[in-house]
Amino acid sequence: MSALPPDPQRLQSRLVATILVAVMLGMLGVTWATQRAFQELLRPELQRKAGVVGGSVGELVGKALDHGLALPELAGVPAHLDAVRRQHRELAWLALRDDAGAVLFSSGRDEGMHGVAVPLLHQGRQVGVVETQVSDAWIRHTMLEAALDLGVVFVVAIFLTRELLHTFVSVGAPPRAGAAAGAAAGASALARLRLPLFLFMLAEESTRAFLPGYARALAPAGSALSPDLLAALPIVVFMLVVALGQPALATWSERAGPRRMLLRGALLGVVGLAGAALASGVAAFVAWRGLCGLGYGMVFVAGQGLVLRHTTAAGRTRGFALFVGAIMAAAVCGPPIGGMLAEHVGPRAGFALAAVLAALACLAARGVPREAAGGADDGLAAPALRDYARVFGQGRFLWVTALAAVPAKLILAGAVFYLVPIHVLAAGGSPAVAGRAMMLYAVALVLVLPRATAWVERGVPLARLVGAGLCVSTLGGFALVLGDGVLPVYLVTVLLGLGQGLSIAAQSSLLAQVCAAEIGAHGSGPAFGAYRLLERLGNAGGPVLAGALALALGTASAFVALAGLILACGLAFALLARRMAR
Amino acid sequence: MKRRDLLALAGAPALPAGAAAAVAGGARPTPWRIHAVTYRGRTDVERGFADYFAARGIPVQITWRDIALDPARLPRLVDEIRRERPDLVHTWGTGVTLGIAGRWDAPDPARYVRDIPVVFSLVAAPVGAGIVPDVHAPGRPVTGVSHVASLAVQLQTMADYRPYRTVGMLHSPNEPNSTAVLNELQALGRSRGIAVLARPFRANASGQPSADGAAELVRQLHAQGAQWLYMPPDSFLSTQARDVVVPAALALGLPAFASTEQLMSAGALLGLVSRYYNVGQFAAFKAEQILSGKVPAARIPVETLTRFSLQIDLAVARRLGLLPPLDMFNYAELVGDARNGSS
Repeated sequence: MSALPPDPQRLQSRLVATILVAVMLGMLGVTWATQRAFQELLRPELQRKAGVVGGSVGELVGKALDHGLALPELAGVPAHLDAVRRQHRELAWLALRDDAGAVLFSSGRDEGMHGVAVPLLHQGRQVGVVETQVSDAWIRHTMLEAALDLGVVFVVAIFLTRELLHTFVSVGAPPRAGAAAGAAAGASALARLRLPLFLFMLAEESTRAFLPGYARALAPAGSALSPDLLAALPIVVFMLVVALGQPALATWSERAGPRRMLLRGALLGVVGLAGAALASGVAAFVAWRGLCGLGYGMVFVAGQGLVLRHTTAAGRTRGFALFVGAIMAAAVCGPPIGGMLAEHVGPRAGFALAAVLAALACLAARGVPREAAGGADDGLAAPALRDYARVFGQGRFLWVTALAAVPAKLILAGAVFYLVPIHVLAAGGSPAVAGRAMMLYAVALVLVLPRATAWVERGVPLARLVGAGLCVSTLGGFALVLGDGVLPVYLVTVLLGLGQGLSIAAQSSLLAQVCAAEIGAHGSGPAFGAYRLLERLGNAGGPVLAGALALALGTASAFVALAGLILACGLAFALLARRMAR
Repeated sequence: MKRRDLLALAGAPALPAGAAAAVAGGARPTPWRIHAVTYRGRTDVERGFADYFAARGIPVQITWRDIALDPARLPRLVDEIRRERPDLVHTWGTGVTLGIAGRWDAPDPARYVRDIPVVFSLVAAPVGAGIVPDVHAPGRPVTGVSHVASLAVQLQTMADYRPYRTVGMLHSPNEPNSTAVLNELQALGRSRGIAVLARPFRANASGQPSADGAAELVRQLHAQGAQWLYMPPDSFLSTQARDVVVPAALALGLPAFASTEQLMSAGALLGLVSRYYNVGQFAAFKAEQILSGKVPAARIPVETLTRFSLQIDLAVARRLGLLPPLDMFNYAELVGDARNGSS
């Protein structure tokens, strides 16, 4: 029996999968070993430190004793012990015992564990001990933090590996002869597009976790605008530039060619991010972010244009899946990497890294093949004003956009990009925590999106998916009622990811469905152009809305209020569904 | 580097002979003549002042004048200074400084020294007392050294030792520095919710403050609920603290806080003070800038030492049953056991 030669494409996929599994197993092993080693080293290290702290308390008490004071008559000891414990959060209990073992002064809760006892000596005689106990809760908390960090590293490593494997395997694929040659060349061009796109998006995404906090810190003391609103400003300007620049950029991309636009956009990103790293004040920072927005818009439009040029109608869905895949991978990896970097080296270094990533994207973009002159009709040409007027007059269009699409973007940009980093900072967390939360959003989205797409294809009612998705995405916001800490924030981002994943795929299909008459008469350009514009304006409006709510109510209540507002939109959308379906 | 060397060379011939010799480390043929006017004899300030010049080999000839607590002697000293025209005058405290140099905004050249540089020590509130309009730019040839920590820090120090809601203070109404401190204390008290009880010393027949009834004033403050006795940088109070005021407070169990080293050594429980010796040295440094450095006194800022000593008298703490909080053993200077009985 003669075996058929294996399909190279399938071989590649298998190779990628095998390497990924190997990397995963390796990472799991490393994670487990690191966690174990940490566990074994943590307690002794904390005990040693507790001994040092006890020793320094003992030294001070010794000074007082040398001046003739007796141990029981010392004043202000509990206050001092409290202050020491505030400095050393890992200590559960700190006490002074006399030579008979009776507790004279203490701070914290005696967990009844074996503590570290440092003898108190006066004139060569032991007169008591300073006793310290390391908090078990602290150790658990630290272990959890470490486990979460390792988990993040694990996820990021998997996504990065997958991204790199895709690039190497696809780009390195041998050219095929015959009729498939044209399609293969297109596929290779798309594969070459994926890396610069991923790197550039990674650069932008890596700044998300610390950007608002950084802007806040740049705010001058006593400025007219509150620091909360100033922190929203760079995001708003960035989003506005992206939204309003899109139509003009699309036209420009057609004229100048998307490859050239990709290179220039990435270059603008490098300049903007480097400028942001060096910015001395809020105004300069906002201006640099505006430039970044222009670069981002250019790269985005150019990416779309390249996909269109290098795919036929049949391969277009796959082409865009690749485009979205690169963006999603960047959304998973960027925020936690940037957050960790900002926590350990500072936000300026974070922006510097982002600039380097954008520069790498620039280099990688040079590998994208030049496209043939003249473009495909991508339907992305900007609608004319009268198109907008006509589309905005349609109730069903407004139903999908005003009650679902725009609210979805408002809560995404308002909660994830703005409130999460600001709230985590206010709750005493680091940018790394914010980055982790943002990663959860992206991971949830990545997991749900394919499933939701399958549901759409299977014919689950679109309006139901959109409405349910929007409502689910708000539920996390109410978790902030439960507590001010960082954990509810994770719930916010996970549920937002789930909800958005549910509704995104269905949303554009629903729009095509309810605007069927319009699309039949005028093509998909006007309806989808207006829809995307409104969505992007929602992105810009989100931080403004969230910033105003945070200013009025504080960040925790702002989550709840924003969630309530968007939930109301979702319910109204669902209530109107029956009437709109008629 | 090169450029600076050139400038130095070019500048050298322009320097007066004395300064050039001082720069070169050689002895100045004729010493600088300084008049030093004190309020109640020489203190550590004067010792620090004189030692500074001696240690640097700067020849000075200091003429010591003391008014023995009597401001009426100042006009005669002004006449003497104007006649003898020393190179510089050093003054001790607010009262003496005002008597010699007058207020900046009420010039009366006939009554004060106006054209000879004056360097003062121990002026607590030089702006409040009207000696200079601005500590950064005196604007006339009068500059010097303040010795008192910011009042806000003093109040906080008292609270760190023993929390309080009410503070009492004795002051001499005829001393502008004391009045300036009282005004500031009342303002701070209002903003921090601390009640301030103030009692002026009684005046004698000639209108000067008197020690008569001072102990009774302390008793009144205590009876009205004062939890600390704040002792401001008040020259008259300084003369009465050791024998009258502090013993009266101690007898009532009322802790006293000292704003100056002198008040601390009178038996206060706690003080945040500048060492007089260091104040005198700093004043001498400013004098050197004027004499050898040829910097116009009007351009030399009035300054405070950057470091203060937190002093606790442990013997007093024991008597009052108010031992210092453990934290303070980290940074306080404990003077009690060293000075036991000697005060």
